[in-house]
Amino acid sequence: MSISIEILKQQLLFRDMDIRLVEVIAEKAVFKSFKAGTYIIREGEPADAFYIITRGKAALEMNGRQHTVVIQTVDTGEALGWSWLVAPFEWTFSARAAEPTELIAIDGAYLRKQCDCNPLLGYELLRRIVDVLSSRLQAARVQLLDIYSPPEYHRQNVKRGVK
Amino acid sequence: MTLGLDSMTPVMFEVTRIWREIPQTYSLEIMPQQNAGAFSFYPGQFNMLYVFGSGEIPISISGNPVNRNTIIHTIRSVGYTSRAMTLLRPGEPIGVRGPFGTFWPANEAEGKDVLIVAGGIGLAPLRPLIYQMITERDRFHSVTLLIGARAPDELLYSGEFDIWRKSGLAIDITVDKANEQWHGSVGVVTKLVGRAGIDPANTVAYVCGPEIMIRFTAAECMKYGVAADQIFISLERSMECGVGLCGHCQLGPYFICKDGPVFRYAQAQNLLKIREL
Repeated sequence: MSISIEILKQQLLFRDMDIRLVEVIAEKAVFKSFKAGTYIIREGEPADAFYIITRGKAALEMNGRQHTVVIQTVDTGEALGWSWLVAPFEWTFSARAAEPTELIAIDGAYLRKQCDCNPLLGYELLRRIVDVLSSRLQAARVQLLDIYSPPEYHRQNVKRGVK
Repeated sequence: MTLGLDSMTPVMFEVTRIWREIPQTYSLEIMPQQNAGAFSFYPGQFNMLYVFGSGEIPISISGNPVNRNTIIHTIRSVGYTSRAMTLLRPGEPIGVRGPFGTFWPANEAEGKDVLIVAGGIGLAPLRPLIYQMITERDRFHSVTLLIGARAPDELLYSGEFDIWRKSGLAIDITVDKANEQWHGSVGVVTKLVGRAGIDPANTVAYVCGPEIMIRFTAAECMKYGVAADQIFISLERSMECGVGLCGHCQLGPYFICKDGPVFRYAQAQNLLKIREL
């Protein structure tokens, strides 16, 4: 099912974007839905689309040494996946629908080609995606700090002299 | 203190109940040994608890302020005295000085959206405020509680979440590391701020957790438009006397025990950026 420009404009990522650019994106945008527990994308497979979640939630998973680890969840209104933009255009993680999930899927190869041909679209899209990437990077850094852990709490308090 | 003794002399209480909340973390219910009168406190205040033979430490009050017969504290066993405290049994004595410090100003949020953000054991000092908000729910517009924890089994007071939801609180939870049973959000608590559905210009935020979590959460609240003087935080330092005499808990011009532990973020934000403090 194709998607109207109005629906795309409602998405946070495309809000305030020039209507002519949204029209180009809408050309190859469709709705997709996934049942809870099913994979939306799989690590290592071709990254053929750019997703925006319109309903539900996706769990981003990476294969650890012995088991799969959920590294983050992505919620309604958020963008999912940028591997369609970066060579070799393969997903670097998997995403599984954590609940019944609906997404806007935009053809990745088409978007790349349009960005190459239309620098204004390329800049606008990248600017917005970098904003998402920046937030995710910052969140990952904070997550790395393990901010709630008892050992950290212990170290802080020992330093402060709490008994 | 309403028990009639000076603030440097512990009042004798006895343990009535102790129970495990999450790994390494216990709640301790105590009551006065003699008929010493009612104990009253404001949400966010703390007591100095004295385990005889082990030492005295500051612990936030985590129970319901309406209950004046018993007091509940939630303690994480991380050091010699706190470990000794978690090993106390019903009937054993404990010394209490307090309550001390500033409190969560619920009045500031009257008619406004309320955002309560808790990280890890930071939910303990916020729970009395949650009880107050539930009791006086009509005074506030929306009340949203955001909780971040390391893992699902480290979610404090999880048995009360359904009751709180039914009492008019919106609750959103995230964990850093999920197990297979967890179907909720994974990621840092700051991420929940953006989807809290608050009117930032008309919101009062109450934030408690490790200091690093407080800084990131306050920054996120401000990014969405909550003013720094409408964000209240609770700080920790090495508190000894509890009344601003000894200076152990000094943070720049403030004594945490007397001028805090609850501060407006606008008061403390620059001090929190100084590593040496």
